[in-house]
Amino acid sequence: MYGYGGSILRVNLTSGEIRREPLPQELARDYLGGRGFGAFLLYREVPRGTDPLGPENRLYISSGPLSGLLVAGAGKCDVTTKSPLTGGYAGASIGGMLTAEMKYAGIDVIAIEGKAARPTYLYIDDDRVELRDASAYWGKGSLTTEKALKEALGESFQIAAIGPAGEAGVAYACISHDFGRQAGRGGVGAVMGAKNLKAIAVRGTRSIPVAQLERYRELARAMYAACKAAPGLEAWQKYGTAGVTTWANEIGAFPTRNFRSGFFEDHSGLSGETMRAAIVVTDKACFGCPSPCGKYSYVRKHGVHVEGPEYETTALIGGNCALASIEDVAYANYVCDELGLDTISAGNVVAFAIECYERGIIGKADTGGLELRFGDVDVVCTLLRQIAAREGLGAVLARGVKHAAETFGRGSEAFAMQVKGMEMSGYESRHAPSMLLSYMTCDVGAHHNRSWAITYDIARGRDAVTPDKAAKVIELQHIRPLFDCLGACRLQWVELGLDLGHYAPIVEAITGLPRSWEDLLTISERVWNLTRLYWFREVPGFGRAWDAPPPRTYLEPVETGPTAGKRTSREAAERLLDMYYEQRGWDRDGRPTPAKLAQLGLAGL
Amino acid sequence: MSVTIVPVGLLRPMLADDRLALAEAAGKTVAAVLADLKIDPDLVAMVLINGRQASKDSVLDDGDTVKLIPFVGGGRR
Repeated sequence: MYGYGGSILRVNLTSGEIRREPLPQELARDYLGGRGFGAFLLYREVPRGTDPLGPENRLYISSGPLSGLLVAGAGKCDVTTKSPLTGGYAGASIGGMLTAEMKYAGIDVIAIEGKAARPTYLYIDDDRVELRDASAYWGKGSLTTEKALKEALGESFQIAAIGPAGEAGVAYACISHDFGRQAGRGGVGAVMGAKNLKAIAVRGTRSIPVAQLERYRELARAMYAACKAAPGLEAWQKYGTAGVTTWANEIGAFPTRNFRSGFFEDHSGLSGETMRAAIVVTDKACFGCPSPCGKYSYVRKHGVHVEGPEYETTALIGGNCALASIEDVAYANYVCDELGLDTISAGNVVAFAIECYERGIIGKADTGGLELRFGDVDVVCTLLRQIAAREGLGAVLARGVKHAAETFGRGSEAFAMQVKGMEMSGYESRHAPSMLLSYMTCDVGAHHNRSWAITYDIARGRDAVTPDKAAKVIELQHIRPLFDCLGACRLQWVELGLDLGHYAPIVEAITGLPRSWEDLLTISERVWNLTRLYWFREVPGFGRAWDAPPPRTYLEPVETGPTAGKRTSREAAERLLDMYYEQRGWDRDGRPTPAKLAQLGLAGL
Repeated sequence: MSVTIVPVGLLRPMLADDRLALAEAAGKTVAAVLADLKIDPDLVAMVLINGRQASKDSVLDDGDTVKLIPFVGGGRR
C-alpha cells in the first residue's frame, strides 16, 4: 500500500504473542491514519466498561500517511487508549523521530494489549520483534532510560519510555521520547505502566512506497521552500511556543494562581527573549521539520538540561504556580520529564493544592508539615515528587484535580479547573468564548490543541457569544486533528502560515488515492463523531453536563490584569453549547444524531 | 533614516506595503506606532525589533526594523 508501512503490529504482553497483520485498505481509506486508526481500533477492540489500567485496555501507537516522508513536519505520532484520568477517550500526539522509524520498520500501528508478568520493553528491529527484560530500567527516569537504551542498543534506535509516574499509575503520567517530547495528556503513560511496559525501542531500515514519486518530490520541495520563505519563520524558529507568553499576558489569558487571574505581574521573567538569553542552548526539530521550534536548554542555576519549557509548561507551572523565574520553571519541567508527568496536568493540580492550602481547606496535617504557597519552586518540586511516588498529599493529587476536589470537598470543586476530568491547559478563558467552548468540547477533556480559537475571539470581539464562534471552533476541530490523522505537525500551517492547499495534493501523490481537502476533512469529522460516541458508550450518564466549564468560569470574575472583572455567565456557556450542537448535527444532549452518523458512515455503531 | 515596519500574515492587509518606512517613528514606542497605524495591539502577538523579541513599550530607534507577528491560530486556507 502506497504511503503506509503496511502492517499492524499486534503485541500481547500476557501471552507474549507477537504478530503482524496487513493494514486493511478500508481502514486507511476511511480513517487515514494516526488518530483515525487509534479511534477506530479503540472503539472496535476495547470492550465497553474496560478498566483503563487493566490488561484488556489497549494502547495504539499510530503513524500516518505523511509520517517519515520528506514532507515538512512529517514527524508526528498518535497514542490512543482509554484514559485512566477521565474514563473516556485519550488521544495524545508525540513528535520526535518515533513515527518515522515505525514506518521504516513497516509498521503503521503498534497495538498493545495484556499485561507482562515482569517489567518489559518492546524491541523492534525491522522484522525482528521481541519482548525483553526491562528490570534494569524499572524505577528509572524516562530521560535516564532513553539514554541507557540508546547506549545499549545503538543511537539508531528510537526510544519511547515511561518514568516512575507511569510505573506508579499516576493518572496523568506521560510517555517520553527524543529527550523532551511527550505523548502528554490523558494518562497514556499510566496505561503503559499498568502493562509493565517500560519502553519501546524501534529501528527500521525499509523505504516507504510512494505512488507518484516525481510529483511527491516536486510537491515536497515546494512545501519546504514555502516554509523557508515564510515571514513568520524567523520568530517561530527563534522562540517557539515561548513567544506566546508575553502575548497571553497582554490579552489577559495567562493562567495565574490557579486561574484566579489571566495576568502574571512577573511575566517578563518568563518571556521568550528572557528564556533564550538565560537558558537556551540550541533549537531542536522533530523529523522532517524546517522550523525547529523545540528549545534545548541548560539551566545553570539547577544544573540540568531540558527540552523546553514550552508555553504550556510556562503557563501551568510558571504563571499558574506563580514562579517568576524561567530557570525555576525549566527545572520543574525537567523534574516532570524525568518522572514522566504531563506538565500541564501537574501544574494545574499543584496550583489547585496550593489554593486549597491558602483557603484552609487542607493544612499541615495533609501536607506532612509542608507549607504550600505560590511562587516557591521547592514547594512545586516537592509536590511533583510526592505525586510520582503517590506519597503524602501526592496520593490524592496523583488521581487528578477532579478527584482531589471530590476528596477535599468544602467547595473546592468550584475551582478545580477541569472539564471531563482533564485539567485545563494554558488559556484563561473567562473573556474568550470561542476558547472556552473549545475547552468545553475538546474530545479528551480541557485541552487546547483541538481548537486553538483564542485568536478568533481577539479578532472578532471578545464579548460576542454568536454562532460564528461555534462555527470557528468546529472548523478548527476538523482541521487541526486532521494533522493527527496524517501523522504530521500542524504548526507549519498555524505558525508559518503554510497554505493548507499543499496537503491534499501531496497526500494523493503519496497514497495514490485522489482525495480533496474536503474529503480529508470529512474523515476528520468522522473521527470527531466517533470519539464522541466513545464517551457516550463508556461514561455512565455522559451528555451535556460533561461539556460544562469549571464553575470558576461563571462564579468568579478574573482578579487582575486586562480581563479583570470578566467572567462568562452560565447562560452564555449554555448558549455556546446549543449553537455548537446544532451546527454539529447533534441533539440537545450533545449526542450525534442518526442522520449525522449515517452521513459519516458511522451508522450501526 | 526611518523605522521599517514589516507586517506578517493577517497583519499584512492592514498596511499599504510589505515593508513600510515610517519617517517619524524614532523615539516613539511600538504601542504608539500601532495606534498611529490603527492596528489592534491585541492582534500583534509578538514584536521583533531587529530580530529580537521586544515589548510594545519598547522605544524605537532610527534604522530599526520592526516585525509585527500575529498568531493566526488557523482558519480557512
